[in-house]
Amino acid sequence: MKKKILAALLVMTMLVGLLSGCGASGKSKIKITRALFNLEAVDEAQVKKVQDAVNAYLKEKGCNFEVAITEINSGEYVEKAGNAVASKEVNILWTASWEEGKIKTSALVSNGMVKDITKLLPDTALYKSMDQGQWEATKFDGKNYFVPVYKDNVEGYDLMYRKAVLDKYNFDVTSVKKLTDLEPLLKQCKDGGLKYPMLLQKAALFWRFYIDKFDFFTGETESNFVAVDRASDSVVFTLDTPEYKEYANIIADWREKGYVHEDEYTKVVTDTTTQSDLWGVSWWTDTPNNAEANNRYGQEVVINPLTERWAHSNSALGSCYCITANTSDKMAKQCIEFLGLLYTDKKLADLYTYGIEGEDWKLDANGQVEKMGKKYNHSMWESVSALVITPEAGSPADFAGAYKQFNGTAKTSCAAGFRFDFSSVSAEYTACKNLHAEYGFLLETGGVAKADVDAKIAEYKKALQDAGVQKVIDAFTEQYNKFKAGK
Amino acid sequence: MANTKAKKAEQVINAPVSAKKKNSLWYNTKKNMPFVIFALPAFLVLFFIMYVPMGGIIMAFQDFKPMQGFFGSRFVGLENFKFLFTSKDVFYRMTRNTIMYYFIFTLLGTFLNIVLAIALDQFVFKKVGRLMQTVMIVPIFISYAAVQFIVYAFIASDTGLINKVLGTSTSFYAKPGYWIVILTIVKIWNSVGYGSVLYMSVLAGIDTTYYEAAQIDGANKWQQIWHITLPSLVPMITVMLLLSVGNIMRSDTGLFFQVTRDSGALYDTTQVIDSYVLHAIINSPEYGFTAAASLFQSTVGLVMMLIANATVRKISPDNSLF
Amino acid sequence: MGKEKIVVKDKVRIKPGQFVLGFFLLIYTLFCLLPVLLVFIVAFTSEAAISANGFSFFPEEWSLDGMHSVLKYGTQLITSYGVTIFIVVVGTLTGLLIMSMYAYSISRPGFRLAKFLSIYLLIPMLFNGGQLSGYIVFTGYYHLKNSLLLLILPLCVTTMNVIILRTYIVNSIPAELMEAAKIDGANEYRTFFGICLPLMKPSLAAVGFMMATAYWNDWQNAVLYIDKNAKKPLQLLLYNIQKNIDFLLNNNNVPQAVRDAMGGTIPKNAATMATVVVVIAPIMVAYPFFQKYFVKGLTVGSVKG
Repeated sequence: MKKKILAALLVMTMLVGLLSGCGASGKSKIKITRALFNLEAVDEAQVKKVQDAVNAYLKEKGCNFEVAITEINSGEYVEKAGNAVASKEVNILWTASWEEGKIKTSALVSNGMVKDITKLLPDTALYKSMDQGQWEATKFDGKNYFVPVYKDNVEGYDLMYRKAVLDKYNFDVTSVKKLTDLEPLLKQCKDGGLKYPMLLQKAALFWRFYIDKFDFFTGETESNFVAVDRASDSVVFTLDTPEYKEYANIIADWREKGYVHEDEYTKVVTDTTTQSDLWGVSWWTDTPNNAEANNRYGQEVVINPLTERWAHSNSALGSCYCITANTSDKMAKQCIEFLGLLYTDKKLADLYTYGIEGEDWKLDANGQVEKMGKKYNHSMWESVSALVITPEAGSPADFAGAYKQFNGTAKTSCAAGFRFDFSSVSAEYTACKNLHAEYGFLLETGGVAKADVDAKIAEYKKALQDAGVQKVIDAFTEQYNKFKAGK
Repeated sequence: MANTKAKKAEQVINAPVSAKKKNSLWYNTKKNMPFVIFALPAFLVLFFIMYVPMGGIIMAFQDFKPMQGFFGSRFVGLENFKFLFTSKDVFYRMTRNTIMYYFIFTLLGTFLNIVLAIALDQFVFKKVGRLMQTVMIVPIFISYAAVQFIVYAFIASDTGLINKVLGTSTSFYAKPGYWIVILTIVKIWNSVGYGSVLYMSVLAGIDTTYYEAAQIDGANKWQQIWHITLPSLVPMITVMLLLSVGNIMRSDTGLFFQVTRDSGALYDTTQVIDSYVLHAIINSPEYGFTAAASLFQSTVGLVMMLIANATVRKISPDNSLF
Repeated sequence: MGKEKIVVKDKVRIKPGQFVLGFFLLIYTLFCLLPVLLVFIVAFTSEAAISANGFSFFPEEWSLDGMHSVLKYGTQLITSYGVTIFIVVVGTLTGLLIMSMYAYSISRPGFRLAKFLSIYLLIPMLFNGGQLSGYIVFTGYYHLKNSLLLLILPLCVTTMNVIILRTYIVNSIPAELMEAAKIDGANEYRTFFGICLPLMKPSLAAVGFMMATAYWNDWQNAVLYIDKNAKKPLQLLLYNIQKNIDFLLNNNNVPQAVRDAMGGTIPKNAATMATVVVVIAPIMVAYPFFQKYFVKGLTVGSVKG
């Protein structure tokens, strides 16, 4: 009797194993991993629903593959997606140049985790869905690894003012050509009792506000000590430049005068502060639809440019997909086919981004998307091309056109297309970046008293020298000269 | 005491067999087979959960690329350890802080654990004592992610409770000097109630006849504590201290990263090795760096533990770990 | 003081020292209590009041938004509580059993493998292969993704707990008892399960308490290995909010779009405190019940005969 039971159990286990291993249809399953920018946890049941709907649609279209979608919360994305990619569990990964750790675009390339799809792209629907400039801008060493999400792929920064404040003090925003022009307004805000006349949103902004002078090709604030100076078209150590001193001094001065609050450098400012009436002026990343700021912040704000718009090496990688190196050529072709469909088929794009119509979203009177609930909560910028998707409520009527025009008015940086390789100076580069938190961040957010700014900059420079920054700069200079020669 | 008695008893039970046979490991194991079986389940769990993944340590010496795996990645010797040492000042500071906090937390923490355990044990109103103990245990369940908000509530410069009560406006988040005290207080709040439970269990295991005898001899409470209670706690204290030495180079990242909000202004007294390593995870794509740092921490811990264990073995062999 | 009677239980006489002791204990209790109280109050405070005035014991405006952002998980909360309780119970009982067996075996004099087993036990406490290595082994080789085993096993056997149990066996359980049993003809199994284990109650209670705490608090393993809603323990569900808030706090380079997508309408501070309330409230309610047995377990050893 025991033996029979055992045998039966064995057979059952084998059957279960067989069934689960194989999959009902024998089609290839493309595993997609994407991030969820929500505060709540991922609702795995809803994701499965959407995944099934997508697969049903793919079947309808006659594709011979299916997808398996995994969503990971943004807070754990670096860790979990990184682990998943490293253990070869993923085929298509969403990522960005500003993500951290192992899934940053530059890290993925340097670790060899992404597939070179240069040869697989030409003549595909995906390739034709975006202009060549986008593909060129995302190349690494002449090879295509990433599929950019077509959105506002250029970089420009604006100053943002609360309308209530502007009206109160009758301030003319066009009078502001540089940061110090803000001071009269900030003074009035301070005297009027505002807690945050200038709201930095606890961000170190040297690498944003000064993009008219420098191309910060590393794409992150921790390494803003190195950049390409546009005027001289060469790699510079930014801490030696007058601009850095100027910015640090402005912020320190504003800190002393009370325009910049202590909460900035102690990282106390919350993201709901922008929705309150405690601030006067802040900053905003230029997008084709600046009017959405009003919705985001729950109040009327006025936006005015501070810098020009630039097309950098990293701006097109603000949100992109990549195919992992463990994906076979055959499946990679299918991945490209899927992405091509995603970038050209409106129905799929809406499904993939917003979820199930009627459950997660519905169309409003203007034919734009109104989201219902937060179970499956994605946006265009991290999903699909702006050219194909149904825009969300509050967007300009010609959504695709607005984006095309926006991207078209940018200046191309002299360093566009430059990719730096830090593997030869990896230890020094990491050590230098680790110094940002205690020096650079404080200098740029008001953590240093005005009298100490020069001393602190000197200290920062010394610490960087000790960590080996000269080696890093020399390496980048050499690479940049090679890049220039090859242009 | 129990050990020597056991030894004597064992000699009685194990009547002499042929000398050669008795000394072989194989014979000894066979004879003690039940003990082997007792150890087996935990042995297997440790093997599959801890030992198999331990192979990952090799990443510390490799230019690890996931696609090439552990066997295919290039060997780079001690290269990966460089990032820890390139900034000598930073290395010195974070090591100094790590060790300093280790001593403060371990010594002060153990002392307070014991004091609290004895205090609760001696307290006559048991019901009240139990209620108080429930409250003291709750902090361990509050994650540091939430604790950072509470700490902020107390020490914020304008709206913080301490500043409001004292009428001052000290900017705690800007001055590193205060943080040795702040972090210690937070650590104590979080862990002493919980940590005292272990010592209470030891106290409960003390034979009451000793106390009775001491009382008959006229000893007062303090003398009883000094001569009976404390010595009974020594084995557990020794063992816990020995175990903790192994982690001398590791820190509670929640405390040092989240409660301090990773504020650079405070690094002078709050940057420990683990916060530096956490930054490296965020800032660098190298797998080898964190593996190297971890190996460094483990090795130093091992050396310290061997030294400490050898010292204890000289003084009182019964209490050493091995 | 005057001559004591030979009655040991000094119940009748309450010395003044007790009040001093009580006073200090009370101070420490308040020290622990105040922040916890603050957590509860803030969980029910409106976010607007917090932005303007910070945390306060006497908030200007109350609100249920914080609790709502946590309670809206609805039935998922109940599932997660169930998962956590299951893990705590199964993990603690299993761990106590196999660890005390191991501790017993390495405490046996004359057992030459004991030294090897002790060292075998100590090494994992010092050396570990790193997160990625564990991930590859557990999901790639063992195929245990989404399995509750990965939430139970890693915390099941820990060096510290085994050593604590061993220390207790060596120091508090007289060898004569075991030898007496052997002479009476009991085999090793009977000796351990029948005599040693019952006598280990105090340390089992203490170690069990520490294990239960570790299981209740564990979030790391769940983050890495659990995706399915039905298997999510409590911490995973709730600390997502905190982890995501941290993400915004610490990542300097996130684009505006991310900040706005996550800025949303969640009352950050109140919601964070609400998650703490949901995690510790059951403990504060249930612990007094268990405390009875726990204290009994702890003090069992004091009755020797």
